[in-house]
Amino acid sequence: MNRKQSYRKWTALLTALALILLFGSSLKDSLAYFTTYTTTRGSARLALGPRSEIEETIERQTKQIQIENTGETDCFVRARIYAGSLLQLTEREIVPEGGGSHWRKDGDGWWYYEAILKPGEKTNVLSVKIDVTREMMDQKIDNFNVVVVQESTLVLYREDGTPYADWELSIKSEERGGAGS
Amino acid sequence: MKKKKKKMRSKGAYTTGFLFVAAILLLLGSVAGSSQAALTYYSENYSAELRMFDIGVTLVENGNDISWRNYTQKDDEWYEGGSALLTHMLDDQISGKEGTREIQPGRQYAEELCVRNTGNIDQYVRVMIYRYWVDGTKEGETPIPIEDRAKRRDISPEWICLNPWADQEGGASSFNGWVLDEGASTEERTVLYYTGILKTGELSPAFADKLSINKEVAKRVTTKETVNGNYKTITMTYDYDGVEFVLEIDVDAVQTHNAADAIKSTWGVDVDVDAAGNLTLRR
Repeated sequence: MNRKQSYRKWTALLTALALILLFGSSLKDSLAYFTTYTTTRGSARLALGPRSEIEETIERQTKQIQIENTGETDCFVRARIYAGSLLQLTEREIVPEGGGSHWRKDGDGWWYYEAILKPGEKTNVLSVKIDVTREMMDQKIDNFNVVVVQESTLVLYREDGTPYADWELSIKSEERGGAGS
Repeated sequence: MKKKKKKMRSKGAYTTGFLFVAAILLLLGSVAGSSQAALTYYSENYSAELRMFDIGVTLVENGNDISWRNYTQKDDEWYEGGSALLTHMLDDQISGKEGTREIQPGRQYAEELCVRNTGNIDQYVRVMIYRYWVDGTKEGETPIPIEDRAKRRDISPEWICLNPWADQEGGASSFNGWVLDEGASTEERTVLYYTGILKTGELSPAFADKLSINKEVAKRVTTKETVNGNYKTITMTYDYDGVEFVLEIDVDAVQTHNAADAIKSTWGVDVDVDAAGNLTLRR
């Protein structure tokens, strides 16, 4: 290949390159589409794990029971009182002035607090009067235990927004209190 | 020799003649330019309208603009901004302390999501919804950005139920003019296409309306028994207490002109567009 041929080849190559660049830049415009996008996200913490504690006082053979929601989320609570068969228990709710009645005893032996207990809130007082029976005196039983078991469970909601409790998911705690005669 | 000289002389004359003609043409051209300029000077004023094509899209959550990206050709600038999703939902909740940013399983929260065309050209839109779980921030800890937290693969994204697309029963395949791209959707990602043209300034129908967390999440508990003398204490802890769920939404918009090619080029999806502008996904 002589110098003249090489020169012609280079000229042709440069011309082709110039044409590609020229048409390439105009092609780019025609292929660009109008498009846009936007992105965002958000998060929320799942509130599980209710916590509750029993507060009780004993005065003149009467237990005053209250349950407090010590967790960070709403919950339902229930309580059950266990005692020896010789003891006679009188259980009732003490409704505060201007307040509503919420404790309800069910056929399964549990007392259910029907209102949602918000964090930091306490239930109405559940009063348990303990009467010593003649049989106990005859058998000279001078001490006994009255056990209170309380459970709390998180508030679940049906599709229509109605709150309900699923007691299969309850958190349990037990408080044992004694009294002497 | 003489003949050759004569030939060269005539070639020079031709060149001179050519240059002369070119000079005359240039001269005439410049004169014509002046006369044209004079004509323009005395002519009436004409107004010309130059139309700018600006594309823009905004995600709307419960009536509030949440995230947007709009182009203005005039300034050659993209305007984008917005805030996080779900903040309203936590403020509105009836129970719980204000600002606890906690939601309760089973409860349905209003989550109406739409797209607004905030450009000045019609567009087709699609949305990609991502649902997943991350570890929550513990009390006293400095909050870590979501993108820096590890995803919780052990918790099903399907428990984050965005009505009507995802729930335990399966979910819908179309809703309010939005269709589900089943081929591109996964357990974590839901891809939806709006089948109509979203006109300038128009708000699309909602592509979701409610959000809830499946109650199953509360059924995973760990039980621990400890015996202290006569007492046996049973402690139950919820496995997923304090975890956070994330809802992430991407909105894409593209021009309606030459739609099938534009969608294929920008989204990589084959679609058919009928004469009325209705879009169908090619399966």
